[in-house]
Amino acid sequence: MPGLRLDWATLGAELDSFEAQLKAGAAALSQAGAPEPGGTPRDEILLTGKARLFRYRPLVASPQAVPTLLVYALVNRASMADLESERSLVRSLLEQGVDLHLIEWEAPTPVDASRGLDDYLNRDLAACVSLLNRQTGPINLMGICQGGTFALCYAALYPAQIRNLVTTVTPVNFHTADDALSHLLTHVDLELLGRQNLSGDMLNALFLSLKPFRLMHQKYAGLVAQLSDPASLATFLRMEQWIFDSPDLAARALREFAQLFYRENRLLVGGLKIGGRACDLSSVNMPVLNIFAQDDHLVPPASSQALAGLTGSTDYTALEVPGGHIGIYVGGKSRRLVAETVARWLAARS
Amino acid sequence: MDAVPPWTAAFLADWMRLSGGPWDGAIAAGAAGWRSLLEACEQESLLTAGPWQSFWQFGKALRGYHERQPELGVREAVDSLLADLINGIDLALSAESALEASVPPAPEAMPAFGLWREWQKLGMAVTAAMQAERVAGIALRRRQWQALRAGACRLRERLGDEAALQIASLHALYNLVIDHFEDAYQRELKTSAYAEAFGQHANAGLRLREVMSRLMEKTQRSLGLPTAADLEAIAQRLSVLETAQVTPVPASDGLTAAPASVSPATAPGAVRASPKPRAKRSVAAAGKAPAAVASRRASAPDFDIGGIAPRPTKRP
Repeated sequence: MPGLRLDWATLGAELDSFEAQLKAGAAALSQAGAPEPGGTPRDEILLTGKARLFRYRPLVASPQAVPTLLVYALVNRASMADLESERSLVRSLLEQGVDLHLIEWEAPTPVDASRGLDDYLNRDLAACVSLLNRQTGPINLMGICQGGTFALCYAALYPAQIRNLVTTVTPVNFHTADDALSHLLTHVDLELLGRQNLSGDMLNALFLSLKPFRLMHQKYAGLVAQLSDPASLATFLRMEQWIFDSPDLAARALREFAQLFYRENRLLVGGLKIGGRACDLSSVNMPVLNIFAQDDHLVPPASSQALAGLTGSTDYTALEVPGGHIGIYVGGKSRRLVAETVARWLAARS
Repeated sequence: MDAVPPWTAAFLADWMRLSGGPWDGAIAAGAAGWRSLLEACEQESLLTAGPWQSFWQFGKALRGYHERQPELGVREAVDSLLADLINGIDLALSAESALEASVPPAPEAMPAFGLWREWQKLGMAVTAAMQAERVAGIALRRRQWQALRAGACRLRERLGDEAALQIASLHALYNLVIDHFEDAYQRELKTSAYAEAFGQHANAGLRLREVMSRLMEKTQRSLGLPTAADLEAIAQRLSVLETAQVTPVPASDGLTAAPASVSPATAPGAVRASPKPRAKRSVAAAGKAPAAVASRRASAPDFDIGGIAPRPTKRP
């Protein structure tokens, strides 16, 4: 039996080194605290329903005249877009001259269990967009993940309010062969699922179960090598906090989203209604930029790519970015590429 | 279980435990020794208590083989470890079957009587839901064990491949193990049988959650405490009052495409304005707002605020 190149001496030395690194890093861990995400200066300009609307203070003298509203998903918190100054999509967009606004969804409590997609889209999101409309006219709408699906729906519901639409890692076709989440939901009783709010912990367990060995084992083995680097450790801890500090999901909104999108795939097959209003992608007649991640295990590229040809837009651009679902926002190269592309694309259409 | 070397048992216990709490049940039921090993590990030090322990356990397990049989090469040790792992999984699968057989059947829908009738009914429902969740959990875990077993078998077959032979570090070896386990799990996850087992487990868990909530509500009522349903009723009543108090303001610029009845800008009671950004904070902040921007921001309060008191900004 031929042997591996790895011998016992090397293995032993590496294991000893790992132990030493961890023991030495124990102090770093105990002193690391809980670094807070974000920090890019911003002002809250509206509080409506379960949404807070922020405007980020421009970082350039003459920001774009048309404001851009960033819509995040209900799962996880929007702080991912501004994790830290060196890994901030928000900051990168501001540096590129985007006049950036952000909706932060407040976590629903048990009394919000009956909040549905109608409340989130036709009331909360609509109130935020309307405020900006009144100031500057039609705005740019940019969505991330489920927030992209919301942005898409909103643009279909109220096309006159949206000047340009940017979707990023946005699921459109929920029935692609490689959509593990959709596959796992196949036999879940959605009526039962949507009777009570779903806790963030349960949702996180679902996400982790998609890649348990990489997400629950391998990444932590890699952490040990970062213990001696305070900045790297702080980044890791910020990301860890963001991943596991997930808000609960309102029961009705969850049930509707799972039913209309995951189960019935309504964006693709049509017949989608939100709050009784027809939501037809052919009404999306503004320019559309659709960005998706090459190695996305949550929203497969094929799911996002399905948007091509579904809208009524004559100005559709698609961009595949190297990286994963989150990596394209926090990774150095990918984040810059996303920000530069979005800013340039918007500037050309403003 | 005695046939499984202690290092491998601890290693496997760790993997299972980190792969999800429910693994513990099988370990406890089928191999009492594993739990004590696991607890010993947890108390040992930062090395074994942290989330990085799977790597450390893996390396320690391999070194353990070397210490017991110095003549073994690394590859032979990995092969032995995987063989023991497969053996351990087979034992765990047997333990799962024993566990499944030990779950008593759900109580029949017996009528309840007397003063504690309602509590008795609820208690029976909780018991039935817990048993159903347990059985569904066993079925799902069985598929997960089998996936892990398949990954270990495949890795054993490929230890002689050129790529594996080039492995020159413990980290690379560990990554190879992770790759195989993850690949095997992904293959299993994509099957219809797994989706069905997952769905049944999820549904059983949701039913258990629901019946536990009912039990909790009944307990709260008996203590005179408000329940979630009470709070929701209050919230809905408040929403109606808010709606009744707000006078809709028509959109003036035609941008609001929605009909008046659901116009976003005029959605009754939907909007509360946040306070204007505080000048003091603007000056102190790194990114000062240019004059033009400040002017535009100052016009924000023109928006229909719906008569609701603004809430302060938590973090400008």
